[in-house]
Amino acid sequence: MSKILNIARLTFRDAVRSKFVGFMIIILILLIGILAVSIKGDGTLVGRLKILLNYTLNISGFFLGLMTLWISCGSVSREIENKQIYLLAVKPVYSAQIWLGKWLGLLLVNITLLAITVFIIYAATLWCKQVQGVTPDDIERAQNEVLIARRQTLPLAKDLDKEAGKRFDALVKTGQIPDNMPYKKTIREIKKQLSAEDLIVAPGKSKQWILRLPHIYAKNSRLRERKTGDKDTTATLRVSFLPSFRSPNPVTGAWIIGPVTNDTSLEPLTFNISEDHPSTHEFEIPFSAIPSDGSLAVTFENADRAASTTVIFDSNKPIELLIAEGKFEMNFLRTFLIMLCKLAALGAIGLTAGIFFSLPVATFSAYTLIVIALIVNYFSAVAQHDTAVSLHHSHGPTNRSVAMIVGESIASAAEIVVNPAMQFRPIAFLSEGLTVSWSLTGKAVLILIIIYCGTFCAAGSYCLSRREFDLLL
Amino acid sequence: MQHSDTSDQQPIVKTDKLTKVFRDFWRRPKVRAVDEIDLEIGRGEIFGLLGPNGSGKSTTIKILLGLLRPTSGNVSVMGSAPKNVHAKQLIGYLPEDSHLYNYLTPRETLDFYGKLFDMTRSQRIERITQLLDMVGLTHASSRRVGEFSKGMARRIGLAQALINNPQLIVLDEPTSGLDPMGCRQVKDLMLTLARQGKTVILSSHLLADVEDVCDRVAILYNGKIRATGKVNQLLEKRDNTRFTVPSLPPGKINEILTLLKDKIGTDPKVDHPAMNLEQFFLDVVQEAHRNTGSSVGKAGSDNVAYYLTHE
Repeated sequence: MSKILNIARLTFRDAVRSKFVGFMIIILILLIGILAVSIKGDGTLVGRLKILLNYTLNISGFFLGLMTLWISCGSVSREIENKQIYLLAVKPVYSAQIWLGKWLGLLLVNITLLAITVFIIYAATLWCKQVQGVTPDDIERAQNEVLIARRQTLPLAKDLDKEAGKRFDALVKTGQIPDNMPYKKTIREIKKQLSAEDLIVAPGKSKQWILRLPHIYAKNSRLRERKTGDKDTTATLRVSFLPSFRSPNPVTGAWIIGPVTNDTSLEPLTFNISEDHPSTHEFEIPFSAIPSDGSLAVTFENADRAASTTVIFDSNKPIELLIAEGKFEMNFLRTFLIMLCKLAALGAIGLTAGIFFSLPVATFSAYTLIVIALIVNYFSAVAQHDTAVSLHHSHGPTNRSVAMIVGESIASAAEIVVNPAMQFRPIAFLSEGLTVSWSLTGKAVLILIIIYCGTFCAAGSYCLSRREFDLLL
Repeated sequence: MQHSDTSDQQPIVKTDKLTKVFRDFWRRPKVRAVDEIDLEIGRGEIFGLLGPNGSGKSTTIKILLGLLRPTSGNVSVMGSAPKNVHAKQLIGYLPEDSHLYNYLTPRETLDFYGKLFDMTRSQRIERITQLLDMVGLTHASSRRVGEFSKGMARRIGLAQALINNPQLIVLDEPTSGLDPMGCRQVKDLMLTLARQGKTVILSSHLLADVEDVCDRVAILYNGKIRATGKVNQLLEKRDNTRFTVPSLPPGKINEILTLLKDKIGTDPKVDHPAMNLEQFFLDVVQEAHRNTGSSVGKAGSDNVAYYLTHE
């Protein structure tokens, strides 16, 4: 271990004295400063903080990612080009120790730079609260909606397969399905239709969602109190909806929140609404209204019979239940850790590329690899939404050529490799005041550090042990 | 520090039909840098590798150190494969250019390499102090290596090669960039190390250096060994004999010449042995040093580090 730490210390020293790193840090600090001063958002403190956190953290991640790739590619390739590796390779050090030492050194660089950046962003966040014109009410709202960690509970997903099967049978019975229509394609179309129907509530109709809260909040009030730190805390139901067209009349209706079962001991809560320009609405729900099994039924009744205004819900998050469960600072720390895991994975890619190629070629190769990963992830996400783009053979024509089969296999393999690494987006959570959980952080460590970096370490160490240092590639 | 058992009889370095072919991008053979070389270097030997540029000296050394893989043939160093980490524990290497980290000081450089040999802190401090004194850079131990002249960097390179008290020392052009005093010191060091039973492999263009210190040499050309053997045997002129006597008056010389001519039948030649330039230079500098003190670049005791000779 001492050899690894020795190499790590040298790598750290080498990186921090780089002019490129200094330049990037200055640019980054300037950008954060400019953004903190210039961002106005929707004019509210909440809007401003959300955008500030989102933009500055994403920009920091982007810049530090670029920098990590550059430094990591150069860490080995420059040593090979300058022949300093000669003296290292003839010492009693395993190639895995060299790789790990370099990687650890880069991780230390990332910890330092990310800590500086995150500290500045945090300071900017605090500064926004002190700006002239911000009222105590604004600050309180910001504390409740952004500068907090709230657990998000989304409604249970409906079993569309089962419903689609039933509707298919019904359509077959009534002869509405053409003979030459393939089964899979028909089911897919029906599911699309059901998803769309699920988001609308016609006048006079109602719609119900089922939410299942974690037991810790539903059953044990003492635990809940300890977790939230507040005896009187409430859950917040956030709903997002729009009228189907620009109606001159307000959307009128009622939100009924109560137990799923016929539990008469709990009186359902009813909120009547009459909204001129409905968008996002929040209701405070006391925990006493939540049944002990944690299941909550949320029903919306569209009472606008006269105006014929259909209500359309947000396709991503029609409703969500939010429970304050932690401090913003800890949430920030977990976001920092996940960002660090991502940078560590980028460092592993760059380091391994640097073993094969000279600095410019290694950097170009590593950037290309990242761009390909982003493209694969993008198309994979698009394909999941059943659009024209598809990476899956199940959506394609039945008579496929060998080239198509090979292409699809490669795409599927790329998805398997890329998508697990792309699932961590803590900044979106943080800026919305949602909890970045420890389990997500642990998962990031497991996938990005142990699996990805471990794989690159094994590959890089093997290649380093096989590399002939006198040959420049 | 652990030293593996290598018996006195077992060669420290052995190659058998060692061949290295460099290939192009398409894996087609491009250059045959080393061509079926057989070497056997024993304990306590100073072995010289000679040859013009591109003859395969450096490639051979890099194969011995595990920096390059042989295309064919066998190679063993300290009884193991060159890549063996335990064997590397016993090897010291000074490359043709020192290849040091410019932003480190000599002390940090030696400390970095010392740690790679699992040396304790006290061991490192002791050895670094001795080595810096030996190479005459104690006064510059806190300056960055990047600020050093080539000769000073070379001295640090030499010190790092000796940090682990190696049993096999591979020196590629060790006197390159050094002043005559440094050259002499390096040569004396090699002789001292060999007397301690350590093996030195020396690759150099400076034939005088090789002649001064090497027990055996191999002359390479186009990757093949063209001549090998003990230096004095290779250089011996068996068709001439030289007598050396104290300075004589001219009459006495003529008397001896006449006597010799009668005995051998040809005219013998008479000359006065000259001091070589290196020795003359060293005498002048030593005199100057006694009068004015050390120079800026190097100031040392010229002692070999204690641990290299007494452990």
